[in-house]
Amino acid sequence: MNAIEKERRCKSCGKLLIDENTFCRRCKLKMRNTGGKAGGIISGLFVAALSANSLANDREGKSDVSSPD
Amino acid sequence: MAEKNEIVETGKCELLDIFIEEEDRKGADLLKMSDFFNVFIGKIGAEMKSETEWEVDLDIRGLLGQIAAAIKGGFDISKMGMLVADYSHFSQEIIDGLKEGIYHVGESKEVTGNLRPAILDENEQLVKFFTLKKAINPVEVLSDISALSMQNSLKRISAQIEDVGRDVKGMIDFARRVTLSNKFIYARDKIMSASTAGAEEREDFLKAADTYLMEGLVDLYSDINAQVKKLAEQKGPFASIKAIDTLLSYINEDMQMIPRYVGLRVYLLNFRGKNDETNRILGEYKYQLKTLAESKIGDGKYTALELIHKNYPYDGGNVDFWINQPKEMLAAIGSCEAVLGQSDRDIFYIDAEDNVDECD
Repeated sequence: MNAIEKERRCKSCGKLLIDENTFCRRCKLKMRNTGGKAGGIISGLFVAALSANSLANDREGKSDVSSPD
Repeated sequence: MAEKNEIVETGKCELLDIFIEEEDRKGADLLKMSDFFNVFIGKIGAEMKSETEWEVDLDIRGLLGQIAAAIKGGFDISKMGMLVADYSHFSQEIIDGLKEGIYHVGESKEVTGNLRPAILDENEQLVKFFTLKKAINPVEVLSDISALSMQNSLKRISAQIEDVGRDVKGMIDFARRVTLSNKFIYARDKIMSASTAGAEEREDFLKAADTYLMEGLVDLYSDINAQVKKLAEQKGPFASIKAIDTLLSYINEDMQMIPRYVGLRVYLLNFRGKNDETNRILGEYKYQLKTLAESKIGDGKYTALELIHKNYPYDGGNVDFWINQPKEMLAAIGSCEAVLGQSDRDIFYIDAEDNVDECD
């Protein structure tokens, strides 16, 4: 275990770091998981907004066709 | 003035009545049973006290430091001899108090007015009385002393691993646990049969029990290495935390089971008078821990314990457990091995059971 740099600790959990910088592997994975979930929610909302918009456009087009006046 | 005690014979088979709780006698999950260490320590201590001649009422004034060290660590080897503490009757609070300097070793007055060795607090108030005893024939008691120190060390290791194990919220696979407990259950059956058998048949039952325990240990050592290898395969930024936690909880379970198997095996070998074997079993355990601590695995970058540490979700007080604690475990096992080499030294026993005048 001589590779361990004694003074460096994870900024999030305080664990002794072996060869990582700033954050330990565990905290990095947790952050990525959280980031992934947040990204998923945001992209999901974006896709939902796009779908709603295209649906609204569709309806508008249809109502234009049904009223020839 | 030093006094001597009388030797009282105890029934040998009583030493095999180690399965006390219903879960211990009938259960199939080793981790749900008692840890057995207190039973082993109590039985070895009782046999040692009753079958050994002790010199009591010794002057403790020159031994305060060694006594405190022995109570904190279970035993202490120094120039004057070897001191072993009756660990089962010193609470964790006393051990922690001595470590933190809140308590110290000194003397306190009994109700009768005599001064007696005691653990005292900062205000010189009595916490616990104890008696210091010196073995009249150290060679006779050496194997029991060594068994006692081994059980004390294994008990501490087991408790520490159990404690850090609570930090991981992995999936519990009961079928896996039962499979790894099986050999212990078979050994238990043989030990229960041995406790009521005649001398010759008893030895056969105990030999069979030892074989099961040996097989169980081999399974556990193989399993822990397999789990660590799987952990090494969890690479990259998108590794699953759930999968990592499951592997960590399996490793924890194995690490909790191993001291129980080793403890029972060592206890039975001591019962059968095979002291050289006990040291070998402890040596194997030490080798496995050393391999986990020192051999690089996977792509050769990290040891098993470093990998566990990198992935471990420590909770508050346990930070860096897998980096720091195994070194202490190895030192404790090493000291146990050293105990058997002390045959020409005086042996002192710190007995905390008799507390007639205690006022805590």
